[in-house]
Amino acid sequence: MMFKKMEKHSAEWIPLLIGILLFVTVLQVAKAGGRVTEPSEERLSKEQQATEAEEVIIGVLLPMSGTQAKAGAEVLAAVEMFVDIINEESKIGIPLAEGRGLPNLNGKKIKIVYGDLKSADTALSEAERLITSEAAIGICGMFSSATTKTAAVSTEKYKAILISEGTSPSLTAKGYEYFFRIFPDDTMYVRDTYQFLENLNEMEDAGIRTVAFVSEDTEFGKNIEVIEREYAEEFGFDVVENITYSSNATNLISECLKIKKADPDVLMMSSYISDVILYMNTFKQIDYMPGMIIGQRGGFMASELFTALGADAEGLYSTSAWALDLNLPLVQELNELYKAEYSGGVDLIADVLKCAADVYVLSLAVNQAGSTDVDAIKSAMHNLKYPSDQLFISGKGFTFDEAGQNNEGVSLISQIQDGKYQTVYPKELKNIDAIYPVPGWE
Amino acid sequence: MIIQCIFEGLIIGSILAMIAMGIALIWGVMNVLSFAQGEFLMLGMYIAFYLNQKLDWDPILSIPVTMAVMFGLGVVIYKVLISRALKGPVLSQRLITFALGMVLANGMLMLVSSEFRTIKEVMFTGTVNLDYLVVSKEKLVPLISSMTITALLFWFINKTRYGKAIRATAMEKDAAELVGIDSEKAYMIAFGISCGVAGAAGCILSYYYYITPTVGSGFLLFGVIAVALGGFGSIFGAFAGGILMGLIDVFAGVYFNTALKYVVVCVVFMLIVSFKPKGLFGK
Amino acid sequence: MWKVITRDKKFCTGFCLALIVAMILPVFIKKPFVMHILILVCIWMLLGMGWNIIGGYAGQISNGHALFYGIGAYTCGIGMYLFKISPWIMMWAGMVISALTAIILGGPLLRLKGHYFAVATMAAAECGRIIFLNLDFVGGATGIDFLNKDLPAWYTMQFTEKEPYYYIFLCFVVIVFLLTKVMDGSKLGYYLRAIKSNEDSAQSVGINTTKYKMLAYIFSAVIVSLAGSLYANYIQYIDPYILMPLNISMMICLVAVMGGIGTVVGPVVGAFVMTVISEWTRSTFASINGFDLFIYGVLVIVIVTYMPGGIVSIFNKKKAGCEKV
Repeated sequence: MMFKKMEKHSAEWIPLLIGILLFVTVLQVAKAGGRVTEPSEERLSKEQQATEAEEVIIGVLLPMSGTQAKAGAEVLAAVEMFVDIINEESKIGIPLAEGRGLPNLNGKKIKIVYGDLKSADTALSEAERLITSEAAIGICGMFSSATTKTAAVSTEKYKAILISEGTSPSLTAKGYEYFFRIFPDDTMYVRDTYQFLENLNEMEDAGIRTVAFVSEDTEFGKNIEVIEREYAEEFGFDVVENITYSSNATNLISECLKIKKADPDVLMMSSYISDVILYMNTFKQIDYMPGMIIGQRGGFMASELFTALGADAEGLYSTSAWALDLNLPLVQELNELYKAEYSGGVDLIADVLKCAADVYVLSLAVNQAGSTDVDAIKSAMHNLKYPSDQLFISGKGFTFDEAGQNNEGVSLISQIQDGKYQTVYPKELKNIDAIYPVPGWE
Repeated sequence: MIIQCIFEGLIIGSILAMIAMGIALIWGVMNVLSFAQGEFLMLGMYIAFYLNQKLDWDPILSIPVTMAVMFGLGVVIYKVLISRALKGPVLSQRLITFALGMVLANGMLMLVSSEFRTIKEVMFTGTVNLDYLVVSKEKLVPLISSMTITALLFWFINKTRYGKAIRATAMEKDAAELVGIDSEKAYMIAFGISCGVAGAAGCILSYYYYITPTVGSGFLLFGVIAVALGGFGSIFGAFAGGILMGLIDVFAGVYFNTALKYVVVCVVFMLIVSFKPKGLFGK
Repeated sequence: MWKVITRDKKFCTGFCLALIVAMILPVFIKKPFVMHILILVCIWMLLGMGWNIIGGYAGQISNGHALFYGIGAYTCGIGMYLFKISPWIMMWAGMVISALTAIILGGPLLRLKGHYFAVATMAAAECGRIIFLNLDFVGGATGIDFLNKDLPAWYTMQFTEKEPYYYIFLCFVVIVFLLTKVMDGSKLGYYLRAIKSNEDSAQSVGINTTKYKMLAYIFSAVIVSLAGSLYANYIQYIDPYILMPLNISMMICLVAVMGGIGTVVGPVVGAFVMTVISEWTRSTFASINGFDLFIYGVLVIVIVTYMPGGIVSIFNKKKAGCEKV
């Protein structure tokens, strides 16, 4: 009955409503996409837009919605921290901290414009939007290798610098002209993983012979699995089980039963945080724990690893590019600043710092180039000067090769002991001994 | 190994069965394919989580409260949305439940953020290690609870007055009205119960699964397939379908290929449904 | 065949007007983002119109059309990536493969009624997704990135500006739209409508329901596959995640239903409204986690609840009202 009455009335006012709705949507369509207020309707060239603006604009793509949103928020806070260090007077002892803005561009400040990173195709359109509508000279962000590839379609097309920490080696193999990566790629991480195992065998007679791989089924996991297999052969370890599974699965019991049956000495995992939680819970339920679980970052670098797993996270290993216990005072200074004023008490973690470092290094290059011309910035990146006593990352600094990879990066292996990650490898940087094998569930 | 697989398959299956029965109830009574069931599951998980955080309740103990809350929510949603949708075409109803699911999942995202949470302190932890089988108490408890709720649901539908009224309305609405059954009320209660069951499944799942607003969609697809497998209008069919799918999931994963196990599940489903278009137990 | 179109004078004038507007629109648009939205609108129009044939006319609600979308996209991607064959050719290959898939699936599945058919199509699409995900030959999870700067743009359908894409897609939209109009007035349309309202009655009058349902399914698969091929060339990258999750299949239905299921104009209108709403909510509300999809869901509920016949039905009702007076 109610519905029929509604029909009668709707004949009168709904067409009007539709008309208004359509009118508004058409207006929005015509207006949409630009949040920068431009004085005229003419299509300014990007450089004109940039020099006329008071600021240097860098685009940052982050997951602002969906399951990775929390990590995205942490990265946003870290980016803001670095931007404030550059734009305002700051006591942190890194280049560009003194004074306001970029000295070589008359104090112009850095402005960040954000885009939502939901999936590979939105990465493409968001990167495009930030470059064309917001005049960004470069794009950084919390990329995976898949989203980097699509964002690169836009950055290569419209000529903007892309700095991404997607770890797939294919990114530097593609011949991109404006791509850079500061931290190591997967080959480096995996190779160091095996070297660590060899090291344990030599130094502590660990007797590690067999390995097993667990990889989730997207770009991240599948890429690493190939590299893990290759290096296993090279280093002479036996692969007793190789599992690829659907990420965000409703259950992982068959995977865990297979691993338990294979009983490897070392289990290498590339998974996102949701699956890591489920794996650990499932292992607990079948009363099984391999001697070593070493994650290839991903979920192992998420802050929920500690909040969701609590004590169950003790003993887990992960590769990483950066750690809080690096022997560099700047690391602690930055972390204290971050915790106190930007993140509400959450520690900086490697994957968060990496993205913010990308933005920072890009700003350095812009400053060194003295202009917002993309080719000038690119050449500045290749010749980046950085004082070696003001580093806050491991390694010797920044030397980007032809393909855009920084070859001074060093990868680390950390283990969770006493509720936080502590570096156990390489020897020069380690703070504590690795515990192997990890005790069982009692 | 086989016994372990059967045990695990039953557990997954029983939870899937609970979701499936909720869907089957709505499908059988109102002929609506509810795509929001996964989100009701998710809401149940969050209720269990907050009760655990604030009042230190074990999730299993919070089942009655959760079911009551979800029943209420289901009634409200029915009155506001579904009853209107029923007057429109079938496809619209499905799209409305789909959009409802979207609204619920994203509403939760807005409210509580996507941070992954878990319930760590549960009453029954530890494992019992028999030689051929490791029984985790964390999984045994969910199994027993879901069986209990399933039994309760069957009892309600088959033995109580309300249950019989709902079945009558499902079979032949006009005839049921002729004998004095208020079909609106029957629909409302059916929808409420289905939400309640989904909420209970959420409580049970939170025993060992992580909690985030988007958990619903993974369970929904297979819940829906389980229902179709079991057959239209048959709650027992949905239950059987759920259990069957849980078993196929585990066995395919262990003995075939973990990456392709869902293909096996889907193919088995399509084969069964090709030969028995009304599902295994359909009428 | 043309008589069907030209007989309806009102349709002709409306159509020509809309076409003229659509063709000159790019001249007024400065921002690439807006062109991007228009291109997406074209793709969704094709998807909606394709689905409409099986879902709207024949009344068999398929929830798994993303499968054909994926097949179309992948054939073009693979063709360009591995064999350097132009998408202009590969899109036909994609359509053929989709048609074959439709025949293989349709055989058993079209016998199912109502919700069963929907669920079975969902399962089929999910199978497709997992298979594509695990087939390394088609790039697996990595997907295929087939940007090709060496061959001429018209051959590869990879342009640097957006306008050529828009016009090419618009051509296809117009062709499919006219074909739908023709079908609507033809015997096929008549039979399909009969099947939709009551399949048993239709059968008893002598209509070969199996044959016509299968035809509708094949046609819809082919059109949706075409949309997939075009989209793949637009973004020059595909992976299983872009194409196949359940959401895409549901949104294809949504487009047709919101506009007006079973009508010629419905999917066109629906695609426009839906794409604009979703892109607008995404770009405006991106900062609040989940808000954009929340608003989107609410809008869908409101529109589908109060206008079950779709947006187009409002105008039809008005017309009917006027005639009475």
